[in-house]
Amino acid sequence: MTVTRAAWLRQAVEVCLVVLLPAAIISAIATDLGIYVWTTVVIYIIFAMGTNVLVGWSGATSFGQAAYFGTGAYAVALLRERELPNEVLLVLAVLASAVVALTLGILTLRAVGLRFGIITLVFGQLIYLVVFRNDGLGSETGLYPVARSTVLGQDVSDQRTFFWVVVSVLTIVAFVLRRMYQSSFGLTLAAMRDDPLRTVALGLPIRWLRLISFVLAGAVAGLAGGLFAQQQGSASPSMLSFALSGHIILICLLGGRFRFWGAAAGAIVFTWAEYHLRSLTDATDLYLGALLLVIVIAMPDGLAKLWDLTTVALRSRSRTSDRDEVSV
Amino acid sequence: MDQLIEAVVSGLALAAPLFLGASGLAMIFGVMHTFDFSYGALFMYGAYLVVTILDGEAVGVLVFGAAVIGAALVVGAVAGFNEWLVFRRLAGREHITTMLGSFALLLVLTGIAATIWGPAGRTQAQTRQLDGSVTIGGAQVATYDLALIGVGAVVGVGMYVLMTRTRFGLEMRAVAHDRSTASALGVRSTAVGAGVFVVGGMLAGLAGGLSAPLYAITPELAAAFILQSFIVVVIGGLGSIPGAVVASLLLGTVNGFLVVFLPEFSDFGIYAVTALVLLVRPQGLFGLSEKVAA
Repeated sequence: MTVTRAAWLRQAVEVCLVVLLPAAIISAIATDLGIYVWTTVVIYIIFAMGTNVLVGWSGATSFGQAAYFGTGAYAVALLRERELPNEVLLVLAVLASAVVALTLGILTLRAVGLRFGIITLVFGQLIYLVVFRNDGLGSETGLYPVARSTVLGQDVSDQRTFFWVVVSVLTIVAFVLRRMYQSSFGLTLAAMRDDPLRTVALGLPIRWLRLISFVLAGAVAGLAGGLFAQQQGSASPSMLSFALSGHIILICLLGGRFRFWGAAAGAIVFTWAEYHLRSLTDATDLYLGALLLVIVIAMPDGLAKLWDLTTVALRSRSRTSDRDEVSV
Repeated sequence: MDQLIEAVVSGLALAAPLFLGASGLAMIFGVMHTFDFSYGALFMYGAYLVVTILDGEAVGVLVFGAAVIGAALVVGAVAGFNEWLVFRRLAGREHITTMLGSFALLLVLTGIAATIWGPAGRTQAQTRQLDGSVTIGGAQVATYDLALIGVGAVVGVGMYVLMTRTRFGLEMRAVAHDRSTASALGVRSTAVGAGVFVVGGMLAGLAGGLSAPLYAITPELAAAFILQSFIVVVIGGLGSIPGAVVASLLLGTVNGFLVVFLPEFSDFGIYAVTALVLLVRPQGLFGLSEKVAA
């Protein structure tokens, strides 16, 4: 019992330290424009952490995650005239993407590995086309304007207030995922990723686990999408695009997909790199692609590898200093 | 009846560049066991090169043919360079890593194209002798469609001969089947791998060059083409070239019929057929079922 409570506490403290502390510093020192970009960063962190359930935890990489991100965005945008509070709006966005993910998850359950990646890509593209061709969904221009609604009866349209809304959502998502990551569910997903045959032999319900992780990733993506529609003030087909699906996987890889906070680090670096490149050059894709290529070839473990190297170096230094003290 | 012939011919004409592209992608898959996103950029380069060489002007059929072949050779060289720069270094990594490397390469190649040629679309005028139409069984059929079908058939036969009657084809199949055993038996698998990329690149360049008069040529062409080629390879069965032939014919014909009979659904045709095929046969038409857990 005490062990369980300690785990709860440790994880809660970790999430607060990693999410809320930097957020407080950012909101204290950043300019209005900076806050806007950081809001985008935090939304991408939520999206990336959800996607990493597939890319990093279970190893079943889906190339169509933008479809669920976009479903969340369109769900919020479609309800824009109902004047619902955010608590309700975001829950509906999560439900909508979870339902879509569940449907496609059941259909694609038989495919594994690369084939799963391609099938999710094809279905994602199908959803993109349905939206793109549908006048009721605003076809190529999308739906607008989407307001930022209210939280607990308070108006949150102000840039800084909305930043805190997004940070609060991230805190909840990160805590829930952190719990799952270290639970038997998370460990089973890792077993399935590393050795599917043995996992089946152990009698674990591998298809159920795949389906649950797919729906989980889709639901978190939908939550991020709903927030993104509010931040941008619109839902557009680009939020469903195959390019976005590719970017989000690269973000997981950039940060280090086998680390819990890897995806978050990747989202920060990627979004800021993209933001600065966009103001410096027209050929954003060119430099972004080159950066990612270098990472894929030279640093397959992502930024987490840098973290490891630093901590290992620090630890070995402190160990040598310990030994010095003993010898003295 | 006229409409039927029209649908079949336009469907087959659509299938031809799809087949050229997808068979190259299937070859690469066979050797590398993963998808190559950057392949779409090679197609786009083929189209851009033809437009640049001919400056968009209408020319005779021989000049056009020479430009397309020239573009294919240049694109083949680019593909060989990519293999050396990226894919050789990713050999032995996880498939997903290789696939993401190719996605990053697609971004780079598309970015370079956008820098060279700008974001505005370019158009290539139709070749002089091939801009008309002929009447077959009462149906008006574009001459260029017939030319595409002809080129597709010739390249298809050429591929068959290359794969089954030449030493390179034999070595390629050996490497695809079992790389380490092939190496142990004296096949230079690295060189064969590079050769596959060059041949695949030439096919992509050829498909792109031949498609130049059909589309507005923009950097977006890369993503559109790669999605369609992926689909053909997946439906045909991963790495199977006969599968790529059947799948491109199937998708082309379905699309041809939809354009003639149900134009408002023509975009969905390919995806709907794909979804159907994959639900019934996840391993694709010619694919072997995977003996993997799940």
